[in-house]
Amino acid sequence: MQATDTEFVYRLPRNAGNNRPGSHRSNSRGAGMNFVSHAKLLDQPDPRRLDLRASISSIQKDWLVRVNQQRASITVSAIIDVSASMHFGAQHKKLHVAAQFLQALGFSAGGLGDTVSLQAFDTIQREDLTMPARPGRGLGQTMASLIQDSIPSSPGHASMEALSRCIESVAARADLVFIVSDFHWPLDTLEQLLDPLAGSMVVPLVIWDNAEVRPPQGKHLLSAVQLGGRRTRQLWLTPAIRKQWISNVESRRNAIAAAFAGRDVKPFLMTDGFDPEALSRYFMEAGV
Amino acid sequence: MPGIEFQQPLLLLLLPLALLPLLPNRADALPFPWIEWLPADITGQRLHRLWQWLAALTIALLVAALAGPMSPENVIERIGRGAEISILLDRSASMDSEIRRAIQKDYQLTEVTQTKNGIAREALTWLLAQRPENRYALTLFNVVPMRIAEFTDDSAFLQAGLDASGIGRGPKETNMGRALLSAINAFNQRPYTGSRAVLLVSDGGAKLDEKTRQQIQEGMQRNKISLYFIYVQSGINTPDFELVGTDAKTRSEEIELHLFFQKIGVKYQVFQADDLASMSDAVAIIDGQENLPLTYFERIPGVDYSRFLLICALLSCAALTLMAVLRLESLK
Repeated sequence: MQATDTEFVYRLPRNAGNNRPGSHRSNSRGAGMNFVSHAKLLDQPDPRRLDLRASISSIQKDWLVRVNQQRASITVSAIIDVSASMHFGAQHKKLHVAAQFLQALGFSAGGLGDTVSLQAFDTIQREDLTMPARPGRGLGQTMASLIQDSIPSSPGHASMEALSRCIESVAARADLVFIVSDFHWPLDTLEQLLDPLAGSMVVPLVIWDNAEVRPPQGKHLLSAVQLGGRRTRQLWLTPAIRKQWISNVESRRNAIAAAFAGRDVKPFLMTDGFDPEALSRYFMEAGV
Repeated sequence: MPGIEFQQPLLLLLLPLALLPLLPNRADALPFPWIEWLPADITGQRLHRLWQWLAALTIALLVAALAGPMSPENVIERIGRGAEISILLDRSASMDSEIRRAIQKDYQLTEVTQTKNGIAREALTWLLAQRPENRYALTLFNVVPMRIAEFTDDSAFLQAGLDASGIGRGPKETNMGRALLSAINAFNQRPYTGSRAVLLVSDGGAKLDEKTRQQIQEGMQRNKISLYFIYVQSGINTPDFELVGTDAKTRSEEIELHLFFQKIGVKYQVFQADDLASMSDAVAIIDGQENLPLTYFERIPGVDYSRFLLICALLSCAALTLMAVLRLESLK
């Protein structure tokens, strides 16, 4: 993995509730640049912030002090799917993309003064891959190598129960939750699972490999088996079948988007590796 | 449909191996993270079935071929024509002389004279031409027997042998005992596929000692050989077999031989010929007698089917290879 300090910019759509100084808007009053209101000097005995102009025009003839909002740090949580299907990939496995993301996240969060925590799950909650929330720039590399070198605990699907446990671990603590997965699991319970994260911003990062979303060209006969499962498919790759394949991928993407539509977030899709600029753009466009 | 036999029937125990490709085998399928994306394709499923069955068929064919299937050996009855005739032609000096005849009267046409050997050759040539399906062995004899041809139906070869007997002159002595034994021995170690005959063409007789007589008798009986003796009469003074008496004094070598042949106990016939016409008659009679149909049994060996099975297996392997070429080995 390249150790370049790729970073991306993320913002919360609402004010953070944290008291720790940082770079995100928050509801805390304090040493910030955003003006909130005036307060009486008696209530807010901070003569450095005396607003003479406002005091003169004050009807009650009170000494008014400017009250600003303090910028606060947030806690970012990454919940990584490390199930067997995340180990799939033609050029490099999907976990590699996840690791690139974690590296950039560590770097970016460190720069912004935010704390980052890591949760991982496959068929079980992977406590060995868990990192509690903490600040620091060097976190990215640690998290990236931890995730990338992980071994799935069993070849099966990611378990919703394990995801639910991860969510519970970060619920009410994290302001921003990235769920990094290929979402190769049933989506019908997802909305319920996300309920504990009601106060957080959830960003689904969908990692798909080119080999799974684009039908192979050239040879025609494809015999495939579900990774870690028993179901098989045999395909004679005609243009119609390829088209059907692509449309299946498209409808899956729509299904994932629909599952998150209730939370007013769009999934961020990665099929060609991790692009930090695209992720920054995503946060911009999210209308934050 | 005749039954099928196997040379190695125990190898058929391996036949269940053919079921291996039919088992749900996922080793050659590519792992795919989300199988729902792949459309259910009936063509692909059919091709996969075909692939499985072809593989099973190939294994079954190979196992069956290893077991060595063959049709059972048959014994069939055959009716054959044609005889095996061992021609024993006297090639002594006397055969080169012409047949002496009574002095012709003035009103008689002058006959073209021929050597005895020439007459014999001509008659035998006719026989060869008439019955090419017969197999002949040709032995010339004078002092020692000379085997010109073993039993063969190559008439050109035999004809060449006959023609060669007309070249030069032979020595005076004849050793008929050894010649007869040689002609009889030509039949040894041969399957009995047709009537057998020794055709002795000679102009003289021989005194045979007791041992030779016994050997000749045994050989003739063992090999079931009929004997035809064409006695080429040298002239008007040669003894006539039809007038053979019991008077010991009148016995010549020829008579002696004739009497011995009669006693052997096999079919024996003598012809006295003094010109081409009578010679030809004799040969024609012999031909008629030795052309009886003969019933014998022939073993037909079983047909080995394993080659056919192997070719089928090869073809099905070729089809499998073709499919393997079209098959995706990885998703990369």
